Amino acid sequence: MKIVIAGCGKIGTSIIKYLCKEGHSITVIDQNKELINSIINVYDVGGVSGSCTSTVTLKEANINKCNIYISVTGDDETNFVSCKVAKELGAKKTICRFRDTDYTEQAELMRDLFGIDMLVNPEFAVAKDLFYRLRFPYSSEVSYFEKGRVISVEVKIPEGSPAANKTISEFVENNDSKIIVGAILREDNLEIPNGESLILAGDVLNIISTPENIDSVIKNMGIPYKRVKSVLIVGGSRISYHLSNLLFDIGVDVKIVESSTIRCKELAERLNSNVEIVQADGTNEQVLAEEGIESYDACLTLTGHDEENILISLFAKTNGVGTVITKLNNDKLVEILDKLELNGKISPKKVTVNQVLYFIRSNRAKEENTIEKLRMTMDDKLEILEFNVNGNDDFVSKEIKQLKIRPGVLIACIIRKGKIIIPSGEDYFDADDKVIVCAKSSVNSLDGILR
Amino acid sequence: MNYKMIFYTIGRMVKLFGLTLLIPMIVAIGYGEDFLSFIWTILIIESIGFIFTFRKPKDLEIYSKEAIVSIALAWIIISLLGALLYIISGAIPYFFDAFFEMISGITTTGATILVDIESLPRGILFYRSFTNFLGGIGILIFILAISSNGNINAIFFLRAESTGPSRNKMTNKVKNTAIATYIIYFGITILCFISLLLTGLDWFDACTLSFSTAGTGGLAPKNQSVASYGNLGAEIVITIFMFIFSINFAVYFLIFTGKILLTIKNEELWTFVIIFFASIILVTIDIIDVVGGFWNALRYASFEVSSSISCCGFGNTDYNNWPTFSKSLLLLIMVMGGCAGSTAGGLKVSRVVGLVKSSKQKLLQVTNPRKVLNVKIDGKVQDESFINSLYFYFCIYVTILAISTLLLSLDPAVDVQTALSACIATFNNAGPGIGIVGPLGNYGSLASGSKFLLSYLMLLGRLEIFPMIIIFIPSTWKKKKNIIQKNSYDLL
Repeated sequence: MKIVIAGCGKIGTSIIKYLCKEGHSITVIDQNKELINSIINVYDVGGVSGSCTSTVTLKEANINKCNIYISVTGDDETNFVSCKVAKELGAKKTICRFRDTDYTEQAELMRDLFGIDMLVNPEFAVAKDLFYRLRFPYSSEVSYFEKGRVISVEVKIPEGSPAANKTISEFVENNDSKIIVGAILREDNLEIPNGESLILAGDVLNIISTPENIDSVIKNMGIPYKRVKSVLIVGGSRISYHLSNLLFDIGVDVKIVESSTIRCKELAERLNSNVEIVQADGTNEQVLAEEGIESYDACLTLTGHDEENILISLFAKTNGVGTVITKLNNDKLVEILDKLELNGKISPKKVTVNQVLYFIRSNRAKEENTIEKLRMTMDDKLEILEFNVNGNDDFVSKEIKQLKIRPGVLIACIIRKGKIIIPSGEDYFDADDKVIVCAKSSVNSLDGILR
Repeated sequence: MNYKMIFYTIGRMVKLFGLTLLIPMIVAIGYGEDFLSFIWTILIIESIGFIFTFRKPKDLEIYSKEAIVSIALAWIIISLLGALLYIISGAIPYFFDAFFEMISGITTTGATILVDIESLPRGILFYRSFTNFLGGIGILIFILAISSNGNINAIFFLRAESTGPSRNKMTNKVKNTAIATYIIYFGITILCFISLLLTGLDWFDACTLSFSTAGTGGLAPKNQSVASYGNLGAEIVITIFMFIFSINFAVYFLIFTGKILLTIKNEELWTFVIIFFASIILVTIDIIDVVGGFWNALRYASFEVSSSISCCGFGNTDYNNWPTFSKSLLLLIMVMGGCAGSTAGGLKVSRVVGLVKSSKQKLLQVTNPRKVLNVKIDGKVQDESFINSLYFYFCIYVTILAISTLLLSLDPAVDVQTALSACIATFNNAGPGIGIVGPLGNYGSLASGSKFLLSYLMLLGRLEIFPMIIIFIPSTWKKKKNIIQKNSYDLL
C-alpha cells in the first residue's frame, strides 16, 4: 500500500518503523531536511522536505496515488489542514493526530469538516489504557475489547502458584474458570498454547476473558493484588487530565502533582473540584512524602521527561506503593526499567502505533470482515485482533473444529448479540459476530486465519 | 561487525554468480565446445557459496559498514572465482592474467591481456562479455530485486554498489528501485541487441557486443575490437547505445513514469549532452587531416568520444596516431565519465558539476570573504557537507591516480604516457589507454605486478574507491558494534 506520513517526530518515526516492517511503500514529509535524510538512511522509505500543507510538497510525495495519508506533526491545526489538502489532492484515506483537549469535545465536527477518516488522539488513548491498567493492577499490559467487556491481561506466574506445573485444561477444569490463555511467553519464546500446554512458574501468560472471570482466575493463580482506590499522578499532562476524568467517574481518589502554576490553574478549571491538584515539584522527594505517597494504591509518573519519571517511580516503589506505572518515550530505556524491577510502563508511541496499524491493516483487507481493533502485546510478539464477521463468508455457520485454522492462531472469543462465548470446537461463527483472535504473525482479515 | 551476515550476503552473491555461469555454458554446449570446465567452475563456486550460506544468521541487522565490507569482499571473491573458469578451461592459464581479465570484465573496464582473442572458444568469449553485463549494474542489486521485502537496511547495499555521489532511490522502496533498475537495464540491452542484429551482425557478435555495451565494458570478441567488423551500421548503433547507457537510469525511469518535465531540469544530463557533442566536434575538426575526409573523421570521432566518455573502451580505429590534442581530450572525458546512476565509469558528471560550481563560488569568496556560498544543482541548494564530500572524493581520486602511476612506472615495459593512460583507463573503468595499451593493443606485455596493481585499480574505480580502501583499515574489523549509530536509530 502507498502511504504518506507527514511529521517525523517521535510518533511519526515509530509509525514509520512498524509500517516498514509490514512492507508498505512509504514517503515521509518533514520540514527538517536533515531529519528526512537521516530517516531515509535508516528506513526503506522515500522522503520529501517541505511543509505538509503545501500542495507542491504533497504533489512531490505523489499524494494523488497514495492510499493512506497520515498527518502526525506536532501542530494540531497543521494536521487538520494538511489532511484536508491531501484529500483534495487525491489521498484516499487520511489519518490525523490531534492533542488539544478542546478538539476532543468537537472531534466529530472536525472529522466531518476536514473529511478525516480516522482521528488519533494519543493522549486520550493512553489515558484509557492507563485506566484499564489501574483496573487490573496485576497485569503489565491490558487490552480491552467491546467497550471493556472483554479484557486481555498479561500476568507472570509466581513461584508456588497453584497453576504452576499444570496443563491449561487441568487448571481451567479444577477452578471451573472460563478463560482463554491466548499466549505463553517463556524466556523470549512466544507460544500459542492449546489445552495440553504446560504452565510453569515464571511464564508470562496472556489471559482473555470477561473482567469478572479474570479477577477470580487471578485469585486462583495465587497472584496477590489489591484494588486501586487512590491514585497519585505526577505531572499534569494531557494524559493526566483525561485519566483523572475517567478515574473520577468511577470514584477513585485522584491527586495530581504539577510544578507549573499556569498548568495547575488550567487543570483546576477543567477538572472536577474533587480531583486534588497540588502545585509542587514532583521530583522533590520531600514533596512526595508530604503528599503522603506511601498511602496511595497507585502512583503514575507522567511528566515529560523519561529520566524524572524513572526516578519518581523508584521513589514510589521504595515507599511501598503497590502499583507504579512509568511513562516512557524512549524505547531503549525499557530494558533499564526491567532491571530496576519497575514493571509498570506505558509508551504513548506504542498506543498510537497500535491504532494506526489496525486502521491500515483493515484497509488492506478486501473483505468486509474488517478489523475492529488491533493490539500488539507481549513485546510485540503477539497480536490480538477483533474482527467483524460478514455473513457472506463460506466459513460462517461451520463448526470451528471443521475449519482449518493456521498454526500460531487462536480463536479466543466470540461476541454474539452482546453475549460473550468462550469458543469450543462445537461453536461456530455467525453473521454480525465479533471474533477476537490471537496470532503470532500479522493477519489482515478473518479469512487470513484459515489455511 | 556482524561477520555472519557479511558471510551470508557474500555467499548469496557467490551462489547467484555461479548460476549465471550456466548461460555461457549453454552457449559452449551449443557450439559443441568443451563445457566440462564450466561444470567444474560452477560446482566449485556453488559449493563455496553453499558453505557461506549454510547457516542463516539470527542477527540480520547490518549497517553501512557491514554493507560496504560485504560488497568489497564479494567483488574480490567473485573475481577470484570467476577467474577459475579461464584457468580451468586453459584459455588464460596464468593466474594474474586470468584475474586481470576477470576483473576487467566484471568491473566493466574492458582492458584485456589477450593477444589473440579470436583463438579462444566461443563459450569463453561469450563469458567474457557476459561478465561486463553482470558487473554493469551490480550483482547485489539483483539480489535486492529478488529478495523479500522488509529488509530495512537494504538501502546500504544499494548505495554501496551503485555509482555517483548521491544515491537516491527512484521509488520509495529499495526492492522496487532494484527491480526498476534491472527492467531498464534489460530493456535497453535487448533494444541494443536487436539493433545490432539489424545491422547484419550474427547473433553471437550482436549478443556479446550488446552485453559489453550495456555494462559499458568494452570486451569485444575480436582482436581489433569493433574495427574488425568494418560495419558502419554496427558502429553507429554502439555509439548511440554507449551514450544511452552513460545516462542516469533514473532519467529513463522518470520518462517511463510520465515525468518528462523533471528530466528537463536535470543539470547533470544537459552538461553531459553538451560535453558529449562538443567533444565530438572538437575531435572531428582535429583529426580531419589525419583520417582523411569529414565523414571518416566524424565516424571515428563520435565512436571514440562515446567510447571514452562512457568509459566503455571499444575501438573502431587506432587513435595512437591522432594529434595529441584529441588523445588528451579523450583521456580527459574518460576521467569525467558518464552520469551518476548509470553503468559508465569515471568521476561522474554530477561530481564534476558540483566541483566546478562550488569552486567558482569559493573563488568569488576569495574576492569577497563575506559572500555566502550558494551552490545550486538542479535548482536546489546543496549543503556544505555534500560539497565537502565531493572535494574529499576528488582528493583521494587524484592521490590514488598519482601513486598508481608512480608504481606502474617501475615496470620496465611502460613509458610515461602508457603509465599514466593505463592508470587512468583502468581506474575509470574505461579500458584502453594510449601507447602500448592503446585501443587495439592490450595489457598482455605488462609485468605480473603491474597487472595486479591495475586489477586493484579497476576494483577501486568500479566500487567508487571507499569500499576497497575501508577493508584495509584495521578498525573496520573490530567486532564491537557501532553503538552510537545503533542507538541513533531509535532516538531519531
